[in-house]
Amino acid sequence: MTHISGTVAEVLDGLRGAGYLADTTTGTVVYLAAELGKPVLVEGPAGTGKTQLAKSVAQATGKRLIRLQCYEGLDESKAIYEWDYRRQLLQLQLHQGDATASLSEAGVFGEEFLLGRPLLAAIRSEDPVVLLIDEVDRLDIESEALLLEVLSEYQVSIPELGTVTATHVPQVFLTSNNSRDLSEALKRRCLFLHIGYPSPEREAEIVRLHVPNLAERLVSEITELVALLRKADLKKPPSIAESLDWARTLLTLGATDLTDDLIRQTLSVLLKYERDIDTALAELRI
Amino acid sequence: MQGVLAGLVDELRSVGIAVSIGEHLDAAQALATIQLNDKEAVRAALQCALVKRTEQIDTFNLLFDLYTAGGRQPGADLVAAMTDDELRDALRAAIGSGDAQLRRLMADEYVRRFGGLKPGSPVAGVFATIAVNQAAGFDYLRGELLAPSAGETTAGEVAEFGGGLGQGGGGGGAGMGMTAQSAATRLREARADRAVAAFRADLRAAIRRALVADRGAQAVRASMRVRLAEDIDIVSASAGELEAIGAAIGPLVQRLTHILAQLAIRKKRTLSIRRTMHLAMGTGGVPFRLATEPARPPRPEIVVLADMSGSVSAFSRFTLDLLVAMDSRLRRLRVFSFIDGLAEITGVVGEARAAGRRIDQREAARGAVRHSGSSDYGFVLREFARRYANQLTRRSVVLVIGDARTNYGDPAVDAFAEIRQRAGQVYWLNPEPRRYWNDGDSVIGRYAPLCAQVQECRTLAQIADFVRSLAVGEAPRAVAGTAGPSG
Repeated sequence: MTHISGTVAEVLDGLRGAGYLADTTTGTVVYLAAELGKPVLVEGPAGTGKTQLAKSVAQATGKRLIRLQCYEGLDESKAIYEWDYRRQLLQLQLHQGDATASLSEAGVFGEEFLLGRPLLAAIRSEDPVVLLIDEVDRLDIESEALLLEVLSEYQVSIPELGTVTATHVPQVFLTSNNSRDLSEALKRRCLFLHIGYPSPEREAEIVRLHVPNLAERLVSEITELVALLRKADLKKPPSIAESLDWARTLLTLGATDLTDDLIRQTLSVLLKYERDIDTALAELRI
Repeated sequence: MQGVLAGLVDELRSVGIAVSIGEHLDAAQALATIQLNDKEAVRAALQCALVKRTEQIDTFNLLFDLYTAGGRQPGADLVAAMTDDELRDALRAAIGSGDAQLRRLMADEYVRRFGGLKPGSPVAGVFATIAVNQAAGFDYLRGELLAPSAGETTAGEVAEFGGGLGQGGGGGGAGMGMTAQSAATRLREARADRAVAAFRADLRAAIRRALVADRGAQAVRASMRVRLAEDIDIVSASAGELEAIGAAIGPLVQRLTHILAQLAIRKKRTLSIRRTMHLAMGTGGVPFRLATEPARPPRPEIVVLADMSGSVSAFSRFTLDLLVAMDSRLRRLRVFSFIDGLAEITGVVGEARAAGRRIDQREAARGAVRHSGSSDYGFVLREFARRYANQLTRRSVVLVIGDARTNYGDPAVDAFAEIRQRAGQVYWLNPEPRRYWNDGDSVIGRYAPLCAQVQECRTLAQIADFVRSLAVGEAPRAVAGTAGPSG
């Protein structure tokens, strides 16, 4: 038992070492995903560190990160594999003089003519990898089916070649901004992790980790203020990365106290829309 | 533990969270892997395996807490021995300290002392909530937290502020000379509000724990009527529930717009060299068969006619939110509002979306009233057919949102038929309960045969059903079967 509890703690420690401060829930889910060999579907607002989680897991475990960025219109040839038809044509030309027997399909449909895309690359990899399928909600609902075989069986079926099965089960992370509902089939195959904005206390820890020289008083003021702004009606609420940018800005300016003037001058680091800045200033009564 | 898990899964299913057998097995496996005496780890393990939607996490946590409500905490006896005044001082310290364990201890004690929960009192615990909130005195607590000398946090801050002043003299440029900083004040208020809200939540949880200890989880769960956002009747929803609905609109509209886009006519496909060459490999590189690129997502024009009249006014609030959400995902959306007149509000909707605000109902109805302010479908449809029908194409999808109550006027079915003929598809969403359809002045049955689909849409779940049925492509002609032609 102690060994096992140590492992969740180890996951948290490893992530911290990679610069990622996870809460217990995140740590437990990452640990379970590795134990049960299941993909993790990470959902939450933009800028809460969903993609970073996968990167940090890769860094902490020393595995290679393979990334598939999803977009509308992503198809098999970009996600899984593609036949290199130019080389296939050349091969056919080479055998032009031979008898037709040597033109058997196996000649042109061999592994050497296969261009591996991220999913196949993750399956075929010799060493263990972390597979990040980013912004899966951007896929059309029909294209989601491309992922199902990889996610549940860790294999890829190629009609001309057969089935390629993973030698090492890759650790898979899917991220979604919940811009649309994902299919039940996809969700069933994954463990679900919601990452929301951190509490001011946890965000203060994150700021301390990444901007170590900032005055403690400023750290807590920054995170309190960011938490307040995230509740306001903003077009784009500030992300964790933007909080860190702001903290770095204040450090560079040598600020010791968060005054109204200072906020007004530097708020554009945190907020990227004119209207949001106006809303924020009103919210802060500046 | 497996028995408890099965019970929890049953509970989840009973409140409408679908848990598959595979997910149940995953949860069991997860439990076998983690340490069971760590409640938060157990919660995380069960949650990630059983709940796959963000909106359902709160419901899960509620049920999980009910199922795992434990006994008395250490320190409870100590707190119980305090006088009321001492308890109040302790609470003031606890609430500012951010120590969740201590807050929970306080909450339990407040409920024990002031909740007045006796065996046999109503299960919902409404009176207990009121009594305990009164005893806690939130306004007083907030005031105390805001007062400069109260609580640890503020005191520490003052000390640090002094230190900051010293450094500020050397570093300079930070504007330390100013006395009252409005942002700092606002932040202190926000911090006090957060602390008070956290304790309020602690009190609610403590009452639930007390009730569970007395009555058992089943009874409490039944009395709390856990409702999911998508099942809430939009017309009678509370403000909090409306917010949950608002959050759920996004993904729904995404699907709706995507599917409506699919319904429009596809463009001619272009030749794909890559696919053609792939096919040609089987024939020695000679392209016998041609392959085309996959269809590009078509860009249809969606035209919405939204009823803003009094009979659906409770619903039109939601309609407007839906429209703004649709506008954020569609390039070509035209919106008309109508009562007994017709007004195009495409600009208003677009502007509201860009500004990120909601549309006022009066703003939307402006121009839609001609005389009386009670709906006149006949005039509106004729007007629409006359002025806009020639702008409709096969790529247009018309969506009418309204109750089809004509106030006994002419329904102008011929005008609707003309609109139908020019547009690619026509759908009707009716916010009235199906049992009232074709009753009184409702003529939905007259319009129904011309629509590809007519759907009751009182809840988000029903709208989701509508979207799903569109996705399947075999839109059930709902009204033709159930409502029948009207007399």
